[in-house]
Amino acid sequence: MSSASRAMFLKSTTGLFHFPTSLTRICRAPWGLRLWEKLTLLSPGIAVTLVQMAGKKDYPALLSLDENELEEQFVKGHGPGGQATNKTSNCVVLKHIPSGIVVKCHQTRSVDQNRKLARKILQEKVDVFYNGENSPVHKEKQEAAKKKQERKKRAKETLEKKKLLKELWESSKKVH
Amino acid sequence: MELWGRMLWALLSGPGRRGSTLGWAFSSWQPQPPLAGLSSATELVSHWTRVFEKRGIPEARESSEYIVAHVLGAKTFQSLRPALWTQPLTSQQLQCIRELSSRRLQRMPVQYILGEWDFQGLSLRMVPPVFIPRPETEVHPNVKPHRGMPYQELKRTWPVAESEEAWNREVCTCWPSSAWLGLAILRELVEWVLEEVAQRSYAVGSPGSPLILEVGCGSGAISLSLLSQLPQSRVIAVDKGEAAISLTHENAQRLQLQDRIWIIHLDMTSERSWTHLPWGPVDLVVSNPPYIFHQDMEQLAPEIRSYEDPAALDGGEEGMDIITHILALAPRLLKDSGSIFLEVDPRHPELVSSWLQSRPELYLNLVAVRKDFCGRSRFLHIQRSRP
Repeated sequence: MSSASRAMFLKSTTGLFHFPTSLTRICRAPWGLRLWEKLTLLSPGIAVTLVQMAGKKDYPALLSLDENELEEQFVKGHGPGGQATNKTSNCVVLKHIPSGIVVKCHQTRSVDQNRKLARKILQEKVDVFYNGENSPVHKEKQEAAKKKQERKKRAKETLEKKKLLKELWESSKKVH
Repeated sequence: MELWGRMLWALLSGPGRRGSTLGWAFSSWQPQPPLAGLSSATELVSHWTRVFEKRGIPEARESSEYIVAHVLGAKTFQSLRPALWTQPLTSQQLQCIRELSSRRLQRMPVQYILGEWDFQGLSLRMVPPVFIPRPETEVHPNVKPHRGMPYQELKRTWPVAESEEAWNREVCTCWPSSAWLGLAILRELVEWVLEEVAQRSYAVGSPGSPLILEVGCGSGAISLSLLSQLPQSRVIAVDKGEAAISLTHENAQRLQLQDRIWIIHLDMTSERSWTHLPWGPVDLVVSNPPYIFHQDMEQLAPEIRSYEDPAALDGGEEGMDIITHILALAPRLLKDSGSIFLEVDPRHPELVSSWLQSRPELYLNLVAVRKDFCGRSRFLHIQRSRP
């Protein structure tokens, strides 16, 4: 990431960062999490509140999570720790006590990143839990699914057009 | 290092090895049962988890997940596209997994098997016997709660335990106990250095500031992490191991940080260091020096004992040999009121404190001790005061 983009992230003091809308859309898809990971990894200043920044439409912010209502478990490791041990497990298990929702995150090799991601995912799940279909999470997923369908439809149409053109071209060649 | 450990090192550090696990000619020491009928990623993970468990390999599930994910091009199993979990693997992929897993059966650390690992968001090459950076050393920037109680306030309400045991009881949980953890306070070496730098505002904006010396850079994890977070900083990274110097070079280039790091093959504990330091006074000295008590070296897990350079671990009788060397050199290394940040054994804060008291001519003070994420005293901040 260029230093200019980094500066963009670090400028904001409220924790709400402005992404170009196309990036935000990419972040919504489950495997777009990879891009999300890259962004959060390169700019450690990004807080989990980023999820409150919606795409094109003006979605209301998600229900916030109170750290007091969370319980977290990650591997402490046996033995003396430090140089004397070598642990690779950095899975984070995060529970939202009031709703009982549990999120297990092992998306990255970093405990810290997993903690952040776990909070992001938990925040979305908790919002859906309390807001159901009204949750921006739900709405965005619906919209994303709809757009995907439209893209597929358009792609199919384009393919058929190309086929038709090709047939026309070939038949015109035969004539001459 | 045991003989087969050396062999592996020679094989693994040969040329053209970078990134290539497919062309590997390493043969299994033991024949594995045929994998007929097991062809998806999920099934393979279960299979190898069982194999590892039967052979008493620690972190059986994590190891097999990392290996399978790696072969499929992902850093963790969970981060794989869900479709890949159930898709049949090619025979080449199966073979690759088999070879990597056979190394795990030889207790090779996962980081060496994969040839890479992450440290604070940086992807670094890992090559035996260069020391693998530990998670305790990593930066863990505070996770900010959104609305609710500010993190700083929450920390203040968290009981600060009088004793180590009370701390451990309240903060940590042991896997796989069912005890749930409240909010753990993470304090790590690199983060601490960053906080100090932020507070001291070293000639803000001017290149070369702060100037940091890392003693014992290993893979370059700490140096490169600091460089990537402090855009103006410069680092002098020193190690007495050639493999470490080479690996730090490689990682610096991978991360395009080679212009701001000066990597020197040098044994800081040698006599020459006393007279021949090819650099001027620095703002900060950072180190994760070998600090294991010599008698504890035998108790180390095979992963560590057989594969990592003992010189990167053994700190002598009380684990203090390299620590005291660094401290003794401090007057020559540091600018006035410069700081030293060390990762140490939990028994060292007291030992270092009394050692410093016995050496008043060094004008060094143990300013603070910090705990790692498991609640063990792990980091020291020592500051030089002007005589």
